[in-house]
Amino acid sequence: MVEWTDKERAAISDIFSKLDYDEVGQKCLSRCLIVYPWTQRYFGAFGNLYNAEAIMNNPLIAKHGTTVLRGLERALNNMDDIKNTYAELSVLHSEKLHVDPDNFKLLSDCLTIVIAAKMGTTFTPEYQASFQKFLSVVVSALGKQYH
Amino acid sequence: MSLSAKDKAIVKAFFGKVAGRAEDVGNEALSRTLVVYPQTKTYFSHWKDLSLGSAPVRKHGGTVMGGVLDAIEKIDDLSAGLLTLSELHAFLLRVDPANFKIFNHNLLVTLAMIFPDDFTPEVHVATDKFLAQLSLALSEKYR
Repeated sequence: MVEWTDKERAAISDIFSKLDYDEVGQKCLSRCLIVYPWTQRYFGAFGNLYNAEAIMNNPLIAKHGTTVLRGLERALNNMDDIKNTYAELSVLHSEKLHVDPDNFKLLSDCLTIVIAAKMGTTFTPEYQASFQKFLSVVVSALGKQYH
Repeated sequence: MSLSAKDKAIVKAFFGKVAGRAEDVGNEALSRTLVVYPQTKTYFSHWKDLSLGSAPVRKHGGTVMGGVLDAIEKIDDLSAGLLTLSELHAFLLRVDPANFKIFNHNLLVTLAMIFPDDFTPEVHVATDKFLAQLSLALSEKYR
């Protein structure tokens, strides 16, 4: 069981309260596809990913970014049992989507960076520590059902 | 994943801007490394004060950023250019190279924080590649 301090819970809630899921989702996913181009392998059906501009303007990517953020919100609302909350999602990513779990960390790093750009100095080192702890629990839960 | 001419141009241009705030950036990146990855504090047990913005942290952050900026001057042959620094890290400091990745991540977060409009995805990927090559050159003399 993951232990969360009150400060960590407060930090993570505060960060989420400042996020526009459409904006952050689009920025995070497109950044991941640009910075780590091999991740594009999972988005063959998403149309034009030919260059950075195409990726940034791709409506299917933007829509999927929102989907990812909504998924993270589920973890936020079930922080004391992320593992079970994500059991089905983990099976989906493994059995249906066949996503290499190493990619979860890449996306979570991009999310951290997008949030840092958005929040500036209010994204303190303590906030970063809390948020990265949250993301590492999410990443671990997503990988749990792989076999 | 070696650096293309375009990568080098992007890195030089962006860090030309970063250089003006080198000490702030270095301080922020190092502070985050120590707070978010507490195991890194083991290398600084000789400092009395490891808190955010303390004098030794600020000074050392500046030193490390100086090294990064210097590496950009030597971007065409990082292994040769960073030979002495690599020997320092390998034989004297003996920093586990896994920590280079940790510092690089916190540097990227800091750059996004301080230069949100300039740290575009294109600048991000070029910088990430450069820092990876820098870390490789720094690890050169380890074994």
